[in-house]
Amino acid sequence: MPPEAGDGARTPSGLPRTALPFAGSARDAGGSEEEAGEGPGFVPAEAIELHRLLTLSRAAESQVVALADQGRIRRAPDRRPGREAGPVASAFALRRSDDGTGDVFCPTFRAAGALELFGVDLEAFFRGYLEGEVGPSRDTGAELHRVDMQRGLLAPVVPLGLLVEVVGGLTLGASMQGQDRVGLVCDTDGATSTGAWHEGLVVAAARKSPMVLVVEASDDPERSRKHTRLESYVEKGPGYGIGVEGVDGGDALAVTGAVRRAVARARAGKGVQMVEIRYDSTDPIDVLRERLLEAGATSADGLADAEAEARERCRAAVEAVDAAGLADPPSTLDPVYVGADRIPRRIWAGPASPKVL
Amino acid sequence: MTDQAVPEHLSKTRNGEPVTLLEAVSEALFEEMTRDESVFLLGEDIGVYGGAFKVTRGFLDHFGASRVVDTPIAEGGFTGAAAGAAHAGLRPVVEIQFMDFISPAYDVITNYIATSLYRGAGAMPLVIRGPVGGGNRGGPFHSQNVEMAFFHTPGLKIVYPSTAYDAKGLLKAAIRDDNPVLFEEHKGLYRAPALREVLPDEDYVVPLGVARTARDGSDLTIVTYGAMVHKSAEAADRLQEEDGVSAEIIDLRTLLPMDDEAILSSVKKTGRLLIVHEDTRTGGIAGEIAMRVSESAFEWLDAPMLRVTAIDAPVPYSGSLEDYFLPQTDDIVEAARYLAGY
Repeated sequence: MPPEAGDGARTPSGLPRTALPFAGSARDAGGSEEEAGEGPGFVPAEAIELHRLLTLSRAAESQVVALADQGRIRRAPDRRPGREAGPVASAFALRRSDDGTGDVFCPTFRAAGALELFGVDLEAFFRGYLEGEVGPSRDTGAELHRVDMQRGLLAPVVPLGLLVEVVGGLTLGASMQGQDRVGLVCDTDGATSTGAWHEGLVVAAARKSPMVLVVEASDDPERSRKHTRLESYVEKGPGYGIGVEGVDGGDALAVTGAVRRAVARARAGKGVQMVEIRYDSTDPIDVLRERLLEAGATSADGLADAEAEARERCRAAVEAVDAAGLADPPSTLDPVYVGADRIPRRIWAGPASPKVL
Repeated sequence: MTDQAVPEHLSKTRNGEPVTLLEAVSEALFEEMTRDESVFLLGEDIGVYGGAFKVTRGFLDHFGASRVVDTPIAEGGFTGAAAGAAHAGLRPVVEIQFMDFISPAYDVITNYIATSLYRGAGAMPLVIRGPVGGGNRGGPFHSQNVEMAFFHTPGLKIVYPSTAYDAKGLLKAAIRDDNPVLFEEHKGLYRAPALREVLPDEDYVVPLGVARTARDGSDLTIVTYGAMVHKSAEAADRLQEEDGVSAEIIDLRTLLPMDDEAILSSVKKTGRLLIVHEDTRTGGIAGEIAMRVSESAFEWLDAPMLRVTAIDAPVPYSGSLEDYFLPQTDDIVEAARYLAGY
């Protein structure tokens, strides 16, 4: 169940679990714990898979940082190690399917492990940074912003908050068609300052749309002060009439459990739910590794092999993207309108210009 | 549907009665929702209240609350929700109560909806419609024309009808189009008695991107759209009667994509071009039309291209000021006389 304010629970690293005001109001706005159901607890096979995905996210992030250091990509790295649990555990908690009936997942950027669960392979992930040719978006900037409704992936867009508007409508549309798809949007806390986040939430909350918002709070209180004077983002929940829960981002299993509860409440018709993830210096991979070893679920060598494999897969993916070459500009200029010819590129527009492509 | 009977006020065409432009819009929406269950409506007060102009009066009873969705006052929120519904395979039609209020949705329209196909995120079959235009003493927040705020956004289509026939046929085409369409309805034309006409009783569409010749002429071309089609027609009558000048009027109907061929063929016939729009002057569509004609038909021009537009100011509230602000028939006549005598 959601942690009560000041309940004294502690994280695996010994830090006090974040005591969040209104943390118990999930029951008020979103239904009872019994209605929503508990998560399955510690399941060794799931924990091993979660470790693999967290490790993959970190390896991919390290590779991106290396590419930036080499001057091969311009996009500045912004996801620090230790913050993998938000998108990965969220994706892990969703119902996944490739036939258009699963839940819809909108990750934050840079979540390779989460994306893999929704059908984005590592080559596609790195193609988004390295501008390679092959892929469904033909390098139109879309590899990072990919949408695959069959698999339920709505990858992030740069204007923050927009996906709250979009996913509210997507789940409304799915409901109108008799589907029970839940939409989950991961955002960092800065997105909560935008008008789009607010308007999207207003509309979705009024409609009781089956949507879950995951807010990754900054671990820097001064940085958070830019966005709110509140102690916690879950304090915003009652104002919208939505269910809320807070969880420690250093504990990936706890994040999975919190998101599963929120998804269950949303699917049960309890309307929009919010999960706030708080990070501190706890490393979720270290915590999970320790938990797996304590439980005897795997060996230290097995975990080390998994981490090495993740690094090797990232290296091989970058090599494959490099080998594919760059996109051909004229071939990318056609799909602005459905049913239209490709857009001619005119150096000047005279009727007999030899430079009209 | 909760009630299969078609409301009487939406049966005028079926009964052979004339309809206003507003009623033509209502019939188009009603018929498309009947034809295709994936079509549904979102907007402020469109349910029980029937919309600010009553375009959707009776729709809630007929189609039910799941297809006539009353929304909070959050244009960005519900336009974004329409985008999500389009991802889910539906064809939403968004009503912006007054198009002046579309600005909160500018972000999602230009950054998300219009780029969707190009980003590889799929087609975005939705319509965003609502009333525009001045002349009704609405002041600066209920009178604007918004086309040029969106005109330079690749991926959007923009439609602006001037007759009841076109309003119905163009809206049906827009709803069936797989691209996002911004559909502007001039509120001064909504209930104009002179625009009442009997429409065909069969299903018809007016294709997007195709202009019409509203009046044949030989001495000069007037390119225009929306309410200015009718002021241009008044001006053309006076020019013919008082000056013996024959003006051809091209009604664009769709602004984006624009029917270049219709404009160019008329200009090549008359050699003179006057562009008339109710929108303000600087950055107005006249500049783009003139550039296209300069690029492709400069050799056929016998006179400089001119434009008659609203002045560069917010729309005034006072009647005398608004009349001064808006293009009037006299302005069109004066400019056309100058061109004809050049």
